[in-house]
Amino acid sequence: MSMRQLWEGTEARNWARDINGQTKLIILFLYAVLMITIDNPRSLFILFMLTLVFHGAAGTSFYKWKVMAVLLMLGLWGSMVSQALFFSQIPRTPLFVLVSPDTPFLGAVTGGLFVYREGILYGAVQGLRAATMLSLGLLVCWTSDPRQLLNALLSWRLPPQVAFMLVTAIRFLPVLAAETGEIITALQLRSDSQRGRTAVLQHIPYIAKPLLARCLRRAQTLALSVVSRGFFAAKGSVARQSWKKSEKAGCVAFCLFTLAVVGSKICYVLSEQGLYFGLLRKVYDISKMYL
Amino acid sequence: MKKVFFWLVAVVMLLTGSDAFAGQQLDAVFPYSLEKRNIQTVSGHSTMPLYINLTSFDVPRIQQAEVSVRLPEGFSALPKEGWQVTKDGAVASWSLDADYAQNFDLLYIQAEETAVPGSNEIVVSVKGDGWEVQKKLQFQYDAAGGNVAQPQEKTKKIDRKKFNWYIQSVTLPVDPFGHRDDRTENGVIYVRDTTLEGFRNRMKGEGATNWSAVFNHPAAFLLLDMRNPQKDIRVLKFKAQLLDRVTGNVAEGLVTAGKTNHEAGEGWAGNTGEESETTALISLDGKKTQAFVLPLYVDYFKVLEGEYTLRVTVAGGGQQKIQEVPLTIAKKQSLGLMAVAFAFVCFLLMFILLFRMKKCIFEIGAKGAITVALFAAISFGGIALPSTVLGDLVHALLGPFSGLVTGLLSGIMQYLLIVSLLVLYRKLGVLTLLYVLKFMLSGIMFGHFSPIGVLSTSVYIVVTESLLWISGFYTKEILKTNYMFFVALLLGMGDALITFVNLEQMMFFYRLYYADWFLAMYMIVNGLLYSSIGSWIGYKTGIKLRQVVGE
Repeated sequence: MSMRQLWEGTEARNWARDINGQTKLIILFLYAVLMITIDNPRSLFILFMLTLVFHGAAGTSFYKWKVMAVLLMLGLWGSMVSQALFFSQIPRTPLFVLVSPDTPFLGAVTGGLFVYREGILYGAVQGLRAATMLSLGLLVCWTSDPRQLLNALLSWRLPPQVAFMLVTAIRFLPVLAAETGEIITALQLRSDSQRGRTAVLQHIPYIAKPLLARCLRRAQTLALSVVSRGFFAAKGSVARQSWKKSEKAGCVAFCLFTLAVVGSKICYVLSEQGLYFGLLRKVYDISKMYL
Repeated sequence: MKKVFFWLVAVVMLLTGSDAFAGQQLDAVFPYSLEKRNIQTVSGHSTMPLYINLTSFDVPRIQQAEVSVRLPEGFSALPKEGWQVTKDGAVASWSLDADYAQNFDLLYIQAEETAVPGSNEIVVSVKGDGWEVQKKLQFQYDAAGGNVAQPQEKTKKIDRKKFNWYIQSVTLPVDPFGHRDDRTENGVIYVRDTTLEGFRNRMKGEGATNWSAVFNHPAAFLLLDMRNPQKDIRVLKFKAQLLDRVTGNVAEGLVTAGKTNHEAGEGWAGNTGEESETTALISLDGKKTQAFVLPLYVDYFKVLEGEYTLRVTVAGGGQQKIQEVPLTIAKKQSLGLMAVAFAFVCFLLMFILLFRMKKCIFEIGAKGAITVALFAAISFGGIALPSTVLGDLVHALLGPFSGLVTGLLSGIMQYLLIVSLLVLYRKLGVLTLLYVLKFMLSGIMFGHFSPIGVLSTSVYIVVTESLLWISGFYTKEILKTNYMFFVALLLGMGDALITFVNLEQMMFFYRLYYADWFLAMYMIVNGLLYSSIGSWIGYKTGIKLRQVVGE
């Protein structure tokens, strides 16, 4: 499977593809709000697992599951590594020392660098937030055509000129990628060493100038074409996908649910700071147990 | 006249070298109270301190003094180091320093069953080389005053050897008057966020902790409820320590209030020689129940949030009572909140720039707009895409330090694109357009629509546009090399600020921990260094690209 195919949303089941772009973006945003609001590891895990259930229901292909699994594992591992080093809570148990506090300069600056056992677990739990958003983002990406999401943005009064620029950027992404490849080939051929003729990384710093120069020339040509047809100044009229009432109702319900979660969490945090209302005791209990 | 003056000096010198002006002053108080309460009555079977203070002056040599305490019948001295208990009292030998000496001690006196109620007398005398001072102390003894004498207490056999004072309860947090606020969670202390101070301390070295702030504002007050059935009067040492719940080891965090001294200058010295504990002296003043409100001082620089056990130790007269209570220390995320508030302000300000965006598109024309779109595509394809796909791999390999590698893209490449585009199209709003397009591309291609993404983009837009506008970048006729060097540095500093705000946001929203030195390293390397380099290369690239535009 090519890189391009990997990011296409053509393999998903029809029901997932038919969902309006607005619905997908709203749910994605609200889900992100939930993920940064909730602290309870069990609730975070349930929300994460829910995204995997959505993937299963949307018919994500085996290859894409593998790609997602790799990305999720790497993300979680990164979070665990960083929190294992910087975990700043008690109790914490150093597993081994990376930089001793007695090490000249580094020890003094860092105060010692240890790998903490509790930090690994903490990193895994907190990494669930990013992992959930990655999983849901990939779901939206794999079940949507870019045009569908663009239509959603246009429905939210995105200026047609900006929409045009966005479409231009998306359309020219593969062209720019191909041009980058050509420039690298040219730089390899110009290289005076055997190693330079096969290397890629060493040519990267020299790609920018020719690539940007080509962009400017392309922009000149495109602008001439666009202006001559009066396309750029015209108001855009795009055939928009209808937004079903059931989807709207679902979005409103999810929005209310998210607001309730955020509201109760804020009340609970305020109660910890002394702004306590006896009436909200049940809300505090729910927040403490589940959020 | 000269002779008189000579003799006067000689006499003074002789007198100062002798005991001519020597003197001793003896102070003794029984029953002694730390709070200087004038207590006259001793209750049945209680233990009371006898305070002896001897001041000796103008003796030019070290001298030995014999201290003796003669007690009335039915009273005995409790054993104490340095004292020899005799039949009718106790004796001790004190060494008095030369010139000026002050020696003091507390000796605990216990009333036996044979003690005679009514007026009694203790005689304290100190004998030295050719001198003797004496003090007589009168007090009343009330045999029925103690609980032990009361018949209802007979069921509770009191072991007199243990003095019978004990800790009834430890409550925290309370207010300075000892009142518990039911709205606050029991056993939770909130300590202030000191990320910025910690950062400053690291830059300045150790010892920069603001001790006056620490000791003027205790982290919490603790209510120590003591029971004293024998109505003892005692001076006790209070000690509070944080214990790691897993290992049981004493954890860092609590400190003891230091004192002002000449070496440390104004404020507080901080170094009291007592590590990781808050200590205080408390005085049992002969009541059956007594509550103490004690401040807990926290070294904000060292304390870590988490679940602890607070061990309270009260010791005195060779005995100690310990009580342990669970304690949670939570840090206020002030800096994180400030970062989020700043990001929200940027988010609101961004709307002003978004309203201007359409005007900007018409100002730069179709060619400019398409150029911005293509630059956004490169920014997305060359920075966001590799950062997403390869970033996780680098993150897994290098952990938190991956940013130093991916920063080559997000710092150098990003600012190269931005500045080269701005050199070509120097208009307010071009940058906003580029960032908005990049954000939307990420959203459409990867589904990256999140509150953090929106806030982060807002911070980028508002900070960078503001800095360029303030520096006069948009109004300069010609972009000279010196000026662009300044702009590159300015953008670097702006990116350092953006890096800091975005990392704080990440820490706040994702509950992550990063060390202050790590934030500083990221700000300097990823923010200042990479972005300044990228801006400078971008300026040079932009000048070359002008030739293409002019073709």
